[in-house]
Amino acid sequence: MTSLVRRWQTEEADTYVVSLVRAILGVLLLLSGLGNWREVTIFRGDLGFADVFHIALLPEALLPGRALFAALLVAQLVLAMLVMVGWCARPAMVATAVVGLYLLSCDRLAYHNNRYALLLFALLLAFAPCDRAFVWRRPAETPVRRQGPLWAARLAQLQMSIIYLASGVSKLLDSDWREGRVIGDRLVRATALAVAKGVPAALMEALANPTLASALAKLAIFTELFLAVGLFLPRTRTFALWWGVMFHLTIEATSQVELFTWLSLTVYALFAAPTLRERAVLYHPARPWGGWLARGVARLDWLARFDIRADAGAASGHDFVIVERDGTRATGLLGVACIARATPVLFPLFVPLRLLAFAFSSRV
Amino acid sequence: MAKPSILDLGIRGRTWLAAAYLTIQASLVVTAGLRPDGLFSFQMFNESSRISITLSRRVSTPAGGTIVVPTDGAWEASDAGGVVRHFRWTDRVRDPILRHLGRPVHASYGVAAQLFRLQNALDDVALHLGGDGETRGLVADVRVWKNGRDSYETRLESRARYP
Repeated sequence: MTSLVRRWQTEEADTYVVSLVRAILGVLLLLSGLGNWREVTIFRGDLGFADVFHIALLPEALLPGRALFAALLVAQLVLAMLVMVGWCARPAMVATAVVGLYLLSCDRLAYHNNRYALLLFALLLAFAPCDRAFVWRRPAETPVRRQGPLWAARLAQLQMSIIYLASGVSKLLDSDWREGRVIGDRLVRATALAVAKGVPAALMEALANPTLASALAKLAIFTELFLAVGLFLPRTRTFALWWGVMFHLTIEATSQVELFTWLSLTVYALFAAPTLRERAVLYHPARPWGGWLARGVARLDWLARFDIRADAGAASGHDFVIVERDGTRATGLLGVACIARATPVLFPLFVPLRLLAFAFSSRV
Repeated sequence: MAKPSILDLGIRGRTWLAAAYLTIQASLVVTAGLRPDGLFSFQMFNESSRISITLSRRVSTPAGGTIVVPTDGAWEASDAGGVVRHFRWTDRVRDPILRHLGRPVHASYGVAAQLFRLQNALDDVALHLGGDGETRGLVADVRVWKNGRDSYETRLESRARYP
C-alpha cells in the first residue's frame, strides 16, 4: 500500500494523453456552457435570481445580480474555449470549475450529475500538466518536455470510480432497482426515444419484460460495481473499458443523459498507458491492403499508440503485422483486433473481432 | 523544462489535496440520504417516476373559515384597495418540471426530490404574492407514479399567508 501511494505521488510520464483529454473536456465545457445559456434564456429570460423561484445553497446575499449572472455565463464560455485551445488552460480549468460550482450552489434546481462531474474532472485535471500538447498555434513539445507528474490524472480516474461506486451501491440498496421495477418502467417510457435513435422497437419491448428487466437491473448494478474496481486492475482493465464503453453507449441510445456518455468515454482515455508508440504497425509497401491499413490507422490513432512503418522484411509475407507492447506479433483478423483494442473509434469492435479471431487464429 | 505553474504541487501538497478531495467526495456520497434530491452524490437513474401537480388556492370564506379553490395556474385576486390583479404560477416558477400543472411529468432525481422542490416552490410563490389580498396559501395535490407502481396522491401546502 505504501509503495502504491509512493508511486502515485511520484509517477511521471508523457502527458500527451492527458493533454488530449483536456482539449476534449474544453469542448464538453463549451457545449455544457451553451446548454446552460440556452436553458436560462428559455426558462428565465433576463430575470435574476431574486425574480424567480430558486433553491440556493448559499445565503441570498451571495447570489449574483442579473448583470453578474450573465457575465458569469459568458465567462464560462470563454474559459471553455481557453481550455479547448490550450491557452492558459490550467488556470482556466480551475476558474471554470469555481464559477460552475458557484452557479450550482446558487440554485440546486440547475443541478445535474453530469454537469457536476464535468466540473470536478476539469478541476482535477487542472493540477496535471495537461497543456503540453494539443495547444493551438504552438509547436508540439518534444517527448522529453511532455514528461510530467500524473498524480492528478490518477485522481481523476479515482473520481470515475467514485461515480460508479456511488451509483452502483445506491441501486444495490434500493429494492425497486434490484427487482427491475425502475429499469423496466424506464424502458417502457423510453421506447419512443430509443426507436427515434435507431433502436428496434421489438428489442425495447422485449427488454421491458419484467423478467428480463430484473436481469438487466442486476446486470447494470454489477456493471457499475465491476467498473469501479475493474478499471484499476491490469488483468481486467481492457475488458472493463470495453464493457464500460458498451454500457455508456447503450445508455446514450436509450436515455437522455446530456454529456455524460461523452464525458465518461473521454475520461476512459486516462486509463490508457501514458507511453506512446509502444505498438507497431509494420506494413508491406508493395501490397495495397498494407498501405491502406497503415493510412487508416494513422488517421484513427488519436492516442498515438502505434509506430507505423513500411517494412517488407518485417511484414514477412503479410500485408501487415501488428507488434504488441510485449513483442507479440499478429496479423489478419487478430491483427485488426489488436488495432481496434488501441484505437478509440474502433474500440467497441475489439471484443467481437477478438472472438472472431479465435475461430480463425492467425498468430505468426 | 516546461514553465512552472502554481498548480504544480509538491509531494506534500498533492497528498493533502487528494486526501481532502477524497474525504469531501466520500462524505457527500455517504450523506446522500440527508438531501432529498441526492445533490452531489451521483445517484444516477435513481427512479423512474412521474408526478402530476394540481394547484389550488386556500381562500377565506364569509363564515370565517377557509376553502380550497382549484386553479389552472392563473388567477385574479383583489388587493387591499379593491384593485383586481392577475397572478400566474409560472411568473416565478420557471423550472422545466414544476412549471407544468395538470399533466404527468418525469420526476427527475426522484419523487422525494420533486416534492422537496415543490414545497419550496409553494412557499416561494406564496411569499411573493404581493397585491393578492385573498389567497391565504397555496395547495398542491400531487399524483405520484413511482417506479411503475399504482399511483397515489399526496398534498403539500405552503406556509400560511395573512394578507
